[in-house]
Amino acid sequence: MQMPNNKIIQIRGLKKTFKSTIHALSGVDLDIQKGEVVSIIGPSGSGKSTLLRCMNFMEVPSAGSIMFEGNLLSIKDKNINQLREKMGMVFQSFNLFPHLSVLENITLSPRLVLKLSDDEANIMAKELLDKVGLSDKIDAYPNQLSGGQKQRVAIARALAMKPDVMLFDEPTSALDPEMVGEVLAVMRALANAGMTMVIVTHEMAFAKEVSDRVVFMAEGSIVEIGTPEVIFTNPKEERTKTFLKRVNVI
Amino acid sequence: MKVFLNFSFLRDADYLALLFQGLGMTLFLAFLAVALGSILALIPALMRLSGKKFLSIPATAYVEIIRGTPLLVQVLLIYQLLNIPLFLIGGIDMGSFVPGLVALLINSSAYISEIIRGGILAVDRGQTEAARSLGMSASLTMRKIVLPQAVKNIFPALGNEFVTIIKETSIFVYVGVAELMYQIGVVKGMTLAVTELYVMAGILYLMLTYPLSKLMNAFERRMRHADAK
Repeated sequence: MQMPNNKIIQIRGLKKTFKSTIHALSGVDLDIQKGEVVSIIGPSGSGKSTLLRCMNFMEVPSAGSIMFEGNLLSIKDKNINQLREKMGMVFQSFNLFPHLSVLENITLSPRLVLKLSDDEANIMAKELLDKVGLSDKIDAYPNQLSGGQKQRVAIARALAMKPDVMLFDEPTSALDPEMVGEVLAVMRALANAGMTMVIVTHEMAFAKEVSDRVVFMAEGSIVEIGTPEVIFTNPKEERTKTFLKRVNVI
Repeated sequence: MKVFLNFSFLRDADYLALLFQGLGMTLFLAFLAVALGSILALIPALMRLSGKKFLSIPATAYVEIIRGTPLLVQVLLIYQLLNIPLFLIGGIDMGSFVPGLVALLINSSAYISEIIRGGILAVDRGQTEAARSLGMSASLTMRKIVLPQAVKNIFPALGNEFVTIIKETSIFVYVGVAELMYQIGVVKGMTLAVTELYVMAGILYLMLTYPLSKLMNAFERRMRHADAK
């Protein structure tokens, strides 16, 4: 099937219920265009991480559909592994593999899943580490790295699969304040290079700066979508205003 | 009460040889039980972790039945069911050794499967998510990411299981496997030094279990140290 209008991700009627009582998502529609940077903001518990985690089926939706590059995601589908290759994910808690070196963390999946040769994978890993400014840490183990360094390796690891979209789940929330900048710098470079990105974040200034569109969520629904200028300076919805006031943006 | 113990039988090399043969057999049985049992234990462990009812229910039943019944009952039952006639391989009577080992494997694999399951569950869920997000399949994730980390949780507990099994092999005296308690019985019949031999049995078991426990503790400390570096 052909991709309609460059929509890389198409979410329709997405619902997610945890333990059959809590409604984490109650009917979400969202399209992500190719090359677009979309930030998802909102109070904690608003379902923004759940929405992001549904996009690559880390969380299996209770109802609704998600299309990625024209393919309908389904948990029964064996292709879910192949679709996930194309959707890089960066986690709040980094989730580097502690028993593998930085190099192995990056090359493992390209070698095993993409079947790259050791040489090809190593060359690519070196390029990526250079990009995130960690060439000197190639033989280090995760427990020898700072939080900011871990997250930069995690980004390099996700990029090694040559994804078409990168999903960031609060990538700086677990970092000490002085390390937030280095991670945001890598993400900024990635955005400028044209990567399609969906970012769940509490970094309002960053969201305002890099995003093409900002999604404001509350109580499991999308309240408002707009350009950063509109959302951050002139939001239409009362709930958006209240939230932004509380986090001191307006 | 008999107060004066007479350990003069220890001066007889033949008796000592019998006791150490028994000790060797005990160690051999316990080693096989843990080594082979660990491999077998992967099956019920993974079945229980699969999240599929038709796999997890039989595995759970197996584990609960084995853990909920005495080893002695299991050994006698297997011995009865297998009913292998006496024949020797390498001086070992297979008629008692094989059913003994089978029973021990069934028993140890149930306990070890719980150790493995616990070790796997203790690996952070984020590890699996990261691997799956990179397009790795469930089995690849298990082999390359989860199991290598789970081993660190599993190994110390496996050492404890080894110690437990060394002690439990004494039950094979009932089916005539020539392990330590069996040889104690043989020497007892020849020397009549009953109390002394039971003391001796305790000492010999301790000679195996105490260094092993110490070794496992040291190993565990090193693991923790490696984590903290």
